[in-house]
Amino acid sequence: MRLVLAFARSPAGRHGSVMDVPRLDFARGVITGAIMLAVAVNLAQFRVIEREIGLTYAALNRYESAYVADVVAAHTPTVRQRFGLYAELRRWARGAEVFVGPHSGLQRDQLAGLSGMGELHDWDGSAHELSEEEATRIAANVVTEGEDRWAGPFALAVPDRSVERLVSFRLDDTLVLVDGRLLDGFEP
Amino acid sequence: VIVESLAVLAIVAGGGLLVRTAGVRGWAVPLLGLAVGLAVQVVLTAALGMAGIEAAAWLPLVATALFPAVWWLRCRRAGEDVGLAPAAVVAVAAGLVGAVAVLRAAHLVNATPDSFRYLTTTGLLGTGRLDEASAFLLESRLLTVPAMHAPATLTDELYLRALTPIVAVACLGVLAWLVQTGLRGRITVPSPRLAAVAAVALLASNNRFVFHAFYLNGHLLLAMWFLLLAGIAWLLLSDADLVGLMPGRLVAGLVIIMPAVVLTRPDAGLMALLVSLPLVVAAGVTPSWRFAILLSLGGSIAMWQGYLAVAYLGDERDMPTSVPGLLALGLVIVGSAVVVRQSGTGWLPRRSLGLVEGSLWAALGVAVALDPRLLLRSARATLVNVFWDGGWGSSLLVLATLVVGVLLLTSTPGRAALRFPVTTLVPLSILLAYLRESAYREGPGDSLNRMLLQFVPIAILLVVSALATDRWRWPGRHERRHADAVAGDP
Repeated sequence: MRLVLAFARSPAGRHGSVMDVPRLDFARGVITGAIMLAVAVNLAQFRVIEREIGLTYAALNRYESAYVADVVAAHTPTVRQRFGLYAELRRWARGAEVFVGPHSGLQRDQLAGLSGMGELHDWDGSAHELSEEEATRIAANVVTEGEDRWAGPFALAVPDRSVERLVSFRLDDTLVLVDGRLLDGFEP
Repeated sequence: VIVESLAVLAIVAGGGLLVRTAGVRGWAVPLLGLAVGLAVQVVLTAALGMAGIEAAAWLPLVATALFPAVWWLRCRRAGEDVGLAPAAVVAVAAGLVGAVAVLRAAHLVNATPDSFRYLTTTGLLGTGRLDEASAFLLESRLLTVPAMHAPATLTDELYLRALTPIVAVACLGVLAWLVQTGLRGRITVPSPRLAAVAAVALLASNNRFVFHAFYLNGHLLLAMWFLLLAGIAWLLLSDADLVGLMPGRLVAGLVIIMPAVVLTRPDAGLMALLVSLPLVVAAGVTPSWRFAILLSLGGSIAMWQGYLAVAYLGDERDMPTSVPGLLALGLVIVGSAVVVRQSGTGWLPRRSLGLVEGSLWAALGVAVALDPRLLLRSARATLVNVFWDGGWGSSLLVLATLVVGVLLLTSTPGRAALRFPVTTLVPLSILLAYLRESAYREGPGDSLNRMLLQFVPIAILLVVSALATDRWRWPGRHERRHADAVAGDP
């Protein structure tokens, strides 16, 4: 810096120091050198930052699969709690019509956008009495369970990925999302 | 791979043809082309999405390639030098397809909760269901990031896996082109090319830049577009050798990217105003340029906030005060565009940029007087983030030292275009904390900590632009006045 300031004080003109070419080139070399030094500092600390900053904000995060549902599944608990349910719906029932029961806690824009569900309908789940056989069928077809930030505990029951109608209702405290085919004579 | 390759090719082709007609040549054509083409694709996708048209995923891609091609052919028939070497075109296309294939296979992606909210809108936009988005989702995540990934919905995906890293490469390319063009004929040691390499190395080696190169968010886009806005303003206001370039068409490029900037983040319109102000108030700038820039910026802000107002009324939710506030700002900018066109800028105070910057500090002073705790909490969190927790290491401290050093020791014409966005960031960012009514927080996920990246490329260009100085001392009174006059304070 002392060297730089020495140059700063060299022959002064009215508009500042207008320097001769060799000195000017040297001064430009100082600026370039300072930039390259800054690059070296960046490179030296890159790995340290990666080590200390944690998974979410590390510069290079490699996933087994970059499919959105897989990224969510491999992400932090916070992300899984906010988006895990919708990612699983995308994985298992994308495109299905959804019959949303009361107090579901489901976020409609995420159902349509993130999960890629078909039309969304309001549905009064209380009109459908769940038989013992239906409950057994549902339990046998649960493909994923978890905890959603807004809906609370949830379970998704589908026999395969060709779901056309998905029905949501509350069973005790759990939000159950069921393929309409698992319910006897389901009529919206 | 096929759909994503076609999407990237359409964006680069359309933008590349546009920048070629502005006189850009060689390796810079695809890189600047991506920056401009992406803006075209985003704006068209957003417009179709807002109109509820299901083809929002693919039709804009066709239009992004087609309209510039028609314009390019017209220029060519008019005898303009806009030719492209067929071998170079094939090489660029092959390189892009290869890059898409490699990046898709790499499975590298950075995502936070914000990212998945952006992708929620992508899903809605790509399937013509934007009307199902809540007003809050639209207001907080807007449309640029969702729109750039909308073509992914054609293959039942939610994001184009290679596009964000390719944008990062384009951002480096824009920086290199600005350095090389701005220093051409003005320095020999180092050569402009070596200076460009140094600038690119400084940006590319930054850990946070690499993070944003894979991050599903809009900060990298703003970094690239703000760099283009400030950098082209610098080229136009400095003594740069613009031989072969068509300044009017460079400005047209800025007009094109403005709506895409406004639709990226809630505060992006305000920031774009500050970034473009040095060019708008500069003496000697063509009135039609000023008019076009202000109209594009103000019109985009007003239209988007109007759309949000309707969405809030439809949701029957309380509209945040930012919506009518920004709507009014947009209309004021449109009004000022008309005034500036009619009566020029002679009536503006002599040091308009200084006045704006002073006003920002004054507004901050008032806000602090009303609620000092918010400032203290924000300042503490920001210091912690910049020096420890934010993932910057010491890079911001080093960069800030370089910026202060070159501002004190050197003087180059037109530098206000680069200096103003960087120095106004400080009061503006703290004011934004007051406007959103919550303090910044500690940690790399804090919004200001992420926003800082938007101005890092401009700061690097500011440092490298000092190589063009022919003075090397503390500025005296006379020199300061001289620099301001050249920089464009009327």
